[in-house]
Amino acid sequence: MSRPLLDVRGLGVTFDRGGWARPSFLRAAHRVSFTVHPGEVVALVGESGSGKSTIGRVIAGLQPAATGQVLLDGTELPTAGTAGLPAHLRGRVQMVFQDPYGSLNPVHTVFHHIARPLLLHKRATPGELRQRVSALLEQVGLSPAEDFIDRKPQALSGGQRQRVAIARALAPRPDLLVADEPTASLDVSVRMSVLTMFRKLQKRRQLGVLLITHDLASARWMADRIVVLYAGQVMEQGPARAVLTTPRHPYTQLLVAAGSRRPEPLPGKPGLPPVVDPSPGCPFAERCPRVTFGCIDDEVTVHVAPDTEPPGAWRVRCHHPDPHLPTSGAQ
Amino acid sequence: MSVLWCHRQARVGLILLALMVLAVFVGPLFVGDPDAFVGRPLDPPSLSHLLGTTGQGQDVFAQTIVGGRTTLGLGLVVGLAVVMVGSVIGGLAGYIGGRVDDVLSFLINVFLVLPGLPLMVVLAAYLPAGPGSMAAVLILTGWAWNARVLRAQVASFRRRDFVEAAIVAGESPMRVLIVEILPNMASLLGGSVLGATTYAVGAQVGLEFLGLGDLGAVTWGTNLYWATNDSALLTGSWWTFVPTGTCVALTGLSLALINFGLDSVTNPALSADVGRGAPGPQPTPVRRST
Amino acid sequence: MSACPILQIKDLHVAYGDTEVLAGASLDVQAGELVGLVGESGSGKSTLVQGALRLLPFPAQINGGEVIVDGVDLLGLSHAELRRTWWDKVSLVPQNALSALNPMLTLRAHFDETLLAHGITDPAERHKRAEDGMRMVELAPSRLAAHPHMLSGGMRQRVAIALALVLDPQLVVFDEPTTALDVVVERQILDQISSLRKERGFGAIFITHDLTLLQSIADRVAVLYAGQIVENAPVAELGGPKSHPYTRGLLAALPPRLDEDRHAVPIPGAPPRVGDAIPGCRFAPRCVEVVAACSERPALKLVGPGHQVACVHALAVESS
Repeated sequence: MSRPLLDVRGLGVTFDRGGWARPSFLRAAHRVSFTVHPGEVVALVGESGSGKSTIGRVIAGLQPAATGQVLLDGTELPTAGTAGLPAHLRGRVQMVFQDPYGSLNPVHTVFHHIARPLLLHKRATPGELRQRVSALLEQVGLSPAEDFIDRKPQALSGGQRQRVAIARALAPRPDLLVADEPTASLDVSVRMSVLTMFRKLQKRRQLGVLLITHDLASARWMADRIVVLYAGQVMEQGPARAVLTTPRHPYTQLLVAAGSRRPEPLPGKPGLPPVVDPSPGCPFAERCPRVTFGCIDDEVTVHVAPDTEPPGAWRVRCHHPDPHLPTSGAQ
Repeated sequence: MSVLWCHRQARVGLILLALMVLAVFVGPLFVGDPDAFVGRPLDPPSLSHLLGTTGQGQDVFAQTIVGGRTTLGLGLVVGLAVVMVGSVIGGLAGYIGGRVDDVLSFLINVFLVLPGLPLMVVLAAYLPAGPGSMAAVLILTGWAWNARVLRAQVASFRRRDFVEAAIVAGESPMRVLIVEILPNMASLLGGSVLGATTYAVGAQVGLEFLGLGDLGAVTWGTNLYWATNDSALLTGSWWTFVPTGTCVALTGLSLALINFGLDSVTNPALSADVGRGAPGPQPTPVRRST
Repeated sequence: MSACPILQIKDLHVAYGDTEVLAGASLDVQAGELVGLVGESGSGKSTLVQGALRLLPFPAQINGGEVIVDGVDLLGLSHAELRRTWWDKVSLVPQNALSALNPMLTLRAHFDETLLAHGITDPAERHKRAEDGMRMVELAPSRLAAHPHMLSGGMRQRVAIALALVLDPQLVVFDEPTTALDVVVERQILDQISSLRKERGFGAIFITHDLTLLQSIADRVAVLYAGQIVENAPVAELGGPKSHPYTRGLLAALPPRLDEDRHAVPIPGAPPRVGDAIPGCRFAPRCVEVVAACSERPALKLVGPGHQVACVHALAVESS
């Protein structure tokens, strides 16, 4: 098996909430481990408060991690310090942001946004800049490029802006792209055309993609593997189609039920993920339809589904996965 | 700039300021030596001396025109300098954050809390007289306010997606601050320069009026100082201080008008057409065409 | 046509300065009915309803039409009369609950503001209504002392719904209430809206860009394209053979759901920009069924019971 492009091991991120008498903290991520192989699309799925965006930002170098390691092609990313990755790693990881109305600078043209990364990472000489920018715009479906290249973001629609954001992220020819909810802010009618373009480019360039989303349908459509997060912890991870067709963790089952239009009431109880000063045990315990006393106190073991290819690829962090799986004894 | 021109009030302000700048920088070529003794002291305005004479027999008109050169000139320079110092310190504090921000914010707060006028008086009294000292005093007591405002703005922009995108794309921190963030703050910076200039002119005149400037120089502030010294009010010689006072007031007015225009450009809800009539939000108006 | 519409919007024209944003839109809502209003960004769906209720700020202006609520044309009312109508007969749950709630006020203060403005001065009465309102959306009345930022997005949306219902209006407008919410919370809010409708019997307009949401909760759907209503149909008829080409294109462009195995087909091209003048049918440049006759703007024709389509291909039937 080839070395993973991205190897996240036991990642933890906490935010200090201050507090005089009683210091309080928000645990955005806890013991998160997963990998992304070259050319693979991994979906990081969860609701608000699941920590998925925070994890994406750590990988892109915008946020320091508190514990754990993040390895990019074997090199460990620095966990402390301010913005940006070390110079030799910058350009290998790029990010597409969720809000097309906020991720482009209103005072600069489309040309500026795409030309800068090309220049910074020496993907084009100043002489061939315009031609390279035009080529990228055509690749993301903004055709003819001349119509868009000198416009400011305000003159573009949400879908068009997001295409510019994708072109910008692709300019340095990264190996890994972190896409933070790339279509969540777009009208449903344009989502598929943006995602289709994105998938085509991903396949053509054999890009590793970490797709952060709360939309299970697009995860199933685009991802090879899926990692399901709740309250900053990985609940289930495995082959995307299999996990979403026959989910084994009660939280994944809840997400799948909510995404379908079946009229039955949703399983479990409503609630919010416990991310502030959390107690030990399973974070989903207070909402889970299968909860038992052991779920609240004990460290939750990881069960591994048998007969997946490669072995150990489908893991569920639950005391009562469905159907019962042999324990792996790991973590 | 063209947008400002369209705004009625800003247009008036721009014209007024332009006229004054023209008058004080070109005018001195046409008036005589303001220090020269030209006639009977405290002579009211007449055909030979348009604005009369001072208590020393000097031409008030000449003094007013020539005085403006130093006052306005220094005012504009100090206004720019105050905003530049404030941008650098406030910008760095807002952008870098963390420890650097803690230290710089502390510095800003100390300068904000120091009582301005007494500090100005003390500094002006101890430093050698001259425009350099005046500039130093004004910049030292004026930079903190702008720094505070700009720090907050830069800090808020720092968190925006397009700034993070520039960082991920590999831009250096300096480039991000100067090329990505500052252009978005253009109108705030413009407004700050206008406000700082108003402050610089007013504070200058105030200090000199108290006798803390270079008394040998001809500036608006010293004009007022000498007018008081020569008991202008007691003798009823209004012409010795009203022209200078009016010029200072007009300067402030023109800068304020330009600032209104700048506000409208950034916040269209403040446009002149809105809210004619009742205050507060109104229901959508209905206009029927037959 | 039908029994007693609680809202009748007739031929509404809304413009921003010289740019026409809504070119003659009409919409009826019957008592107890949920009408879905669907369109892409910039189609004018929020403008249609907020303009009809005269809630759009300057520089919007209404250039023609009628909006009849309870027999009265809202377009002719004074500010004071409108303030009596708003929230009492018609209320609005705005798109972004966070910006609709005042961060400085507690939730109780929000309720009080509305109740006092409509003459309910007795504090005991206000207390009761506020607490009933919270219970109605399944929130604990004890949370009335909280400030909006202390609640999650879903909870804030529910508070906005409770506020909209506090005076028991006949019509509630939901402006993209679940767009900013996660799938689980979205499902909860939709279920909440359905049960409230059964309980209280109010009519509703549900604005969204996601047609699939409407398929499970709406009775009728109006489809808006570039400032014009192109179809008005019972929800079961949407996408059927008599439907407008845009509606069918929308349904085909939607992402396949988790339990679907469909290949999505996006509509080619892009919607016209606001203010672009297009003679004739505004969808023609992107339509697969375009013919020469599309250069004339088609009127809404009745193609079935309660089903109108503005397309040259629609075959009109006699209304009964």
